[in-house]
Amino acid sequence: MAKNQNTSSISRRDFLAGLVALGLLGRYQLDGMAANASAQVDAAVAAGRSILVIQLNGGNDGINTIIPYSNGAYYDARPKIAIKQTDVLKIDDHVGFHPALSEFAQFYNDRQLAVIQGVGYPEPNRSHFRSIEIWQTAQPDIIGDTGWLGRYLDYLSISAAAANPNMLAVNVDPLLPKSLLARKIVVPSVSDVQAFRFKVDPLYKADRALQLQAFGDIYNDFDDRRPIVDKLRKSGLEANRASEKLLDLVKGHKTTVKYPDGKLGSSLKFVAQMVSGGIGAKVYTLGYDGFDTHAGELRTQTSLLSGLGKSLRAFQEDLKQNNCDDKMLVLIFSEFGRRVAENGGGGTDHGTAAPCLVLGSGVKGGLYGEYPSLTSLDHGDLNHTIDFRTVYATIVDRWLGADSREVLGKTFENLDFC
Amino acid sequence: MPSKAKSTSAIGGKKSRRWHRAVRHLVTRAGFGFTPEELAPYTEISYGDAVARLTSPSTVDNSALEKMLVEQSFDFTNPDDIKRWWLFRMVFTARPLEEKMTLFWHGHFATADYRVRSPYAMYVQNCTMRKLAFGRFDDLLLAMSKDPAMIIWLDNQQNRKKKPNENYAREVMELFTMGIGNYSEQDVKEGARAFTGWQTKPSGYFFNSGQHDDGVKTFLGRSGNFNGDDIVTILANQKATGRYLAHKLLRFFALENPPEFFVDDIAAVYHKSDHNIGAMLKAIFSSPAFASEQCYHSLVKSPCEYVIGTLKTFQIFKVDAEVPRLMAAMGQNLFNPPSVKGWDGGQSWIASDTMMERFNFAARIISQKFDYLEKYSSPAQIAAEQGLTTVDETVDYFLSLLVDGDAPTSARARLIEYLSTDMDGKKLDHLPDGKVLDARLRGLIHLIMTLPTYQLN
Repeated sequence: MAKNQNTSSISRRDFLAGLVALGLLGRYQLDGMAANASAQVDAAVAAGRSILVIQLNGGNDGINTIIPYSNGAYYDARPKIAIKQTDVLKIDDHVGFHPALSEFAQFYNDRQLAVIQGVGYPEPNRSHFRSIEIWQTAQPDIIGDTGWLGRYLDYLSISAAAANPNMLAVNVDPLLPKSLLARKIVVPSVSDVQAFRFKVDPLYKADRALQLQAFGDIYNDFDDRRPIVDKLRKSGLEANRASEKLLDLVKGHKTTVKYPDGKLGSSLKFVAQMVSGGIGAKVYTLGYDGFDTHAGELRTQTSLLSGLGKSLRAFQEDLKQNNCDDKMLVLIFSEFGRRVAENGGGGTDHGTAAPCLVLGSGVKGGLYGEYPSLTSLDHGDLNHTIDFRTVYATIVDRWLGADSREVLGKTFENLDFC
Repeated sequence: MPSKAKSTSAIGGKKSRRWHRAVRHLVTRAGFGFTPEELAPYTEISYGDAVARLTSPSTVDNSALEKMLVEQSFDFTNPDDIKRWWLFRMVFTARPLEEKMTLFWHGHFATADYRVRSPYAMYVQNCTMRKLAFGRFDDLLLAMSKDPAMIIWLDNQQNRKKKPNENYAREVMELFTMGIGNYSEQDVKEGARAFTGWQTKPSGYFFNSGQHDDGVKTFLGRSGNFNGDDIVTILANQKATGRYLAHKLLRFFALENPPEFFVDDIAAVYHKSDHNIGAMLKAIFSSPAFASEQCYHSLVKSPCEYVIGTLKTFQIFKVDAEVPRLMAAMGQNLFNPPSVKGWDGGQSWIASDTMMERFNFAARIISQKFDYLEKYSSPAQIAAEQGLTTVDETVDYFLSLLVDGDAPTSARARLIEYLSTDMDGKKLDHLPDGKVLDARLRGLIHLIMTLPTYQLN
């Protein structure tokens, strides 16, 4: 059964890759694009660019992140939790940053930050879990079983330059997001690199090599037809392979930057270690929790945004010290924004469109798109002005030098932020 | 409902090898692994009686556990103590399914102390779940709607007449009863109105009538001056709720992707039994599909199952504060599920770092000394007690103990090779002895616990 599924769902990309291998493509120039796809991917991999995707879990209130401070409707809808005009860190005459985002205001002034306004998708879903799934699969109309990043990695794996297909991406979280589900590739998840090592009885340390050898042999030959067993087998092998490689990298990392305490800081430091260590991964992902502010939003969001700004400031400096800041693009998004009007608890309920932030020395900073109207609403929520797949397409096409049609299934316009 | 004759034939005659395996499968899935003493009573009765014993926990005496818990004098306002308290219950209970169902409901009505910030409220919620775990779903749903930890967790404290807060109303439909796609955004808004004023005080639930909206609400096609009680009744009666609960129970106890017919059968039991959860469980465990090959060793063990099961297998009755911490590193932090959706379970337990945590837990548990922990177990003693004298016998014994013999011949051969080498990697033609045997047996068990099939129930 599993075999049939694989056969029937073979992608055009796989099919063409097969033709290249057989030398048949010369006679079947289907659309020209495929013939140089491999070379194009090789070039992109060689350029050494990568992306980090940070997911703000819970639904960050976009309206209190990029604040429409000159709009009376904003203050009318939020008597308790609106940010005072004088506190807003102004971008232009209409919008500005939350006061906890001073680092982001600085990034913006340095032209390293793109603020993309009003990002969402048609018929917005207000369930955390379905909306996360839509953002991660980039398939709003079906329950997809691969992620947008996973499809990009599958696409990459046809390239000769992507010699180690299993370290094309690293998830720096305990749980693998659906965005990284791929057909051909297992992405390792590593949240604590120091604990990520195959240990043995400390009394018999010398036995570690023998055990690892036995482990490798057993796992390589663990012939079993159950898909679940095979999945466990692949993950176990990948765990040990990734562990050896990552621990070496981390040891070699040098920086004078102090990251803020906490999970976000240590995760970002680990990403910087991997990037500067030359691991060659194209994609890193991590999540930042706590944005579901149905109550007491002001305090919670201030502390979260402040942590985000300080941690990313450290990350950018670390990358700069290691001369790789121009190779990294950071995308920050949340599964949805929040209702325009506040609720009874000094918070906001689930909403729709919100800004995406894109950060990096190689990013063309600025304000993109149009702020959604605060008065022409859909059931109290913003109407999105930019489809989130436009942001993905821009990153895939322009930053990663790949073909977003292969990742998103159709063509989306590109923005100018990179 | 499957007929009795059918289920018996799927399991095989009493005392056959197949029957024994079916009983082990049942006790494993309905609990957290077993010691030989724990398994014994189930092998002395019929399969049907074993199901009845597991699904009617109140008929099984549990006073030994209760006495032990009193002796531990846990502090229920301490976040580490409530975890250890629950792990104690999982390890020492005589009613394994009672604890397993409490864990199921903890993942279903997922509430986390990182937001509630009251271990005592979490403890109270856990007791409520245990008490109502096998009864009428309506009762549990109502109790959860009034549960202080839940009210704090999903912000119902802030759900007020003039400005409703939708958090609870949405999740009660999306995650606790019907599932997504069975209600509209308008139902969320109207449902929130019905739960306005359902608040908590330090002394517990209270109904704040001044904050309750007693206007007419239109909810799932009906109109009336609904209160939260009415919403609970309406939701528990939905067809979608029966299916949603059936699917979730089957994913937890039987198959990660249960076939349609199985979901239909168990959903039908929900409605026929007036929403009785115990009846659904009985039907699941008695069904031929549960006893089938596809079901056996098909579910990835949760960290709870992995850890508690290992402790039981080696009879290591040491539940220190390290145990919940290790489970958290494997992805299951008790009283702190990652979100209101609980733990996704199944294949989502598998990731590189959580696999490594499992491997290292295995190394730790079977090490003579590990970090600052005392000696945990003595495999050489087990081997002596079992009278194991050859390399083959030894490998087969531990493969049977740990993975029920579920490993390919290549793995068995490689383990035999490992066991018959000395510390310098030189081949021996017999079982090593002394210190080498001790080291090799610990390594052997560690390797078996890293097998893909040891991760499965």
